[in-house]
Amino acid sequence: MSATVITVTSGKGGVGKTTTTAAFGAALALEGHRVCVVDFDMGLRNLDLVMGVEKRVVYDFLHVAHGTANLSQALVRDKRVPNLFLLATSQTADKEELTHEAIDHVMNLLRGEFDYILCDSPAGIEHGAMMALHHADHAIVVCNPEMTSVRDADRIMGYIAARSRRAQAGLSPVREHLVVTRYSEERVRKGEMLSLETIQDILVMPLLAVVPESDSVLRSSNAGRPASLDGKTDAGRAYRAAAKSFLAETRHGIAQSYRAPQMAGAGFLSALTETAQRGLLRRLFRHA
Amino acid sequence: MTISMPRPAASTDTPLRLRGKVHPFLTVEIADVAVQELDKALTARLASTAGLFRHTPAILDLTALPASSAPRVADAVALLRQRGLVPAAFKANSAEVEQAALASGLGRVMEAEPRQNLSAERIRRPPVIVSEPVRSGQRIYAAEADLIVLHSVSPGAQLLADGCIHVYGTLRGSASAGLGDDASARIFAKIFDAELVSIAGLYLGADDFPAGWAKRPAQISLADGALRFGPLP
Repeated sequence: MSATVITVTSGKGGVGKTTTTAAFGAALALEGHRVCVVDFDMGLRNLDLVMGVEKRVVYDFLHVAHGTANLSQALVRDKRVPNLFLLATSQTADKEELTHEAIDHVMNLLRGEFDYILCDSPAGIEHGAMMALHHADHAIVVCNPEMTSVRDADRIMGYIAARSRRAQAGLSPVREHLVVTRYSEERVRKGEMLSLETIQDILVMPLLAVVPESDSVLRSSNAGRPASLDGKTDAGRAYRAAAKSFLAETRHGIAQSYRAPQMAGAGFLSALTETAQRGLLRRLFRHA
Repeated sequence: MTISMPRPAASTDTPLRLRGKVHPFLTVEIADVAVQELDKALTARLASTAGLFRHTPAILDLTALPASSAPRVADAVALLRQRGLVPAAFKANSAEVEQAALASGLGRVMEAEPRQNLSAERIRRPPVIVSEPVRSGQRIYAAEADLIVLHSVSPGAQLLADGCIHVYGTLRGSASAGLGDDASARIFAKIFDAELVSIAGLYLGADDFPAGWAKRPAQISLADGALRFGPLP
């Protein structure tokens, strides 16, 4: 089984990486794939909380890396979504224990078991973030519609292009996908937030999803439910559409190219038409 | 038990000491002229002060003399000695002049800075071509070449080139052209929105750009000691 590794990163903190990892991962699993979400934020363990499985974590990434536990002992199965698993990180260990060898070992074990491996990166551009993006085949870059987060997303894309295993081995480059979170049309109209057009003009990356600012995200987080489990909320719909869109793009092997913003938006919208999310369509048509 | 004492001057115990002290020296700058001209000039110069410079050590600045003037060096040194000066050392740009001065018994002045060979030919290699967006924090340096970017350049990115810089996208970062002191280098941008531009070391930050060029096609060149903004053809 050749797994696809997707790293969720952003540079900037607090923009929605963990929320996106959980929601996008759950959405992929709902589409019938075997998915493992992996927390790379050693010492600031959050993914298990957002997934609602923190009470069931016994062994973590480092235990598997050091051979203290085997993978099946460490993996926590989600009780709501079949084929969705979590590998938590250590809360107590030092970041420096996350070595290349440790990660290579665990990733090799995971590749044998899953279709999709989602790596939840810590914020920043230091050791943890670099380790998280090292094995990526795809990168989901998360940003908010605001200048500092766009600048940081741009920075992290430079690192993806230079520091990934693919870049260093001369393989085809990591495919990048932009997810804009906490988007509010109203605030864009007022000029308080950057428009999608501006963001894409600066970032020049295929747009995968626009997740609207939503109260439901905080509620989901508090309840330990990935945001995509509730298909009736706007955020939930956006994440489910993102998963379908991602699968469609990668299944058809659409080549990565630096498409003009209009084209990227059009691709995204046509995926939405399939799922007939009228409310979201109406809102987004103006920004195509 | 050790007793520390102030360092003694040269004494019978240490007959010779080499110290790096600074002394002011008379410097005689000699132009590339015949010895007779020098003679006349020296006479005129020393006329009223004949006795003042007697026994004065002098450093000869021979940097104006080309290799072809090397044979005249011995006569010039003799001339100065005749007038009572004590030529002690020299500075020269040409190896032949240097040899002649050494042969006349002069010492070579230690250079504080390495001599620059300013007439060296400027090497130009084929252009460096970048066909992906240049991301914030990335720095690209085209050594001895032009830099051509076929995409946009993010804020916080740095483009550096010894030659020209061309951006066929939006230039939002900084661009420094003509790094090898090439004042003829230019910066071209399809959409100009830079943070900083510089040519041959002369720079301008975004706050100081002339008005009207933001987000427009522009070329920047160096003319009359200032950076000039102009349209793309």
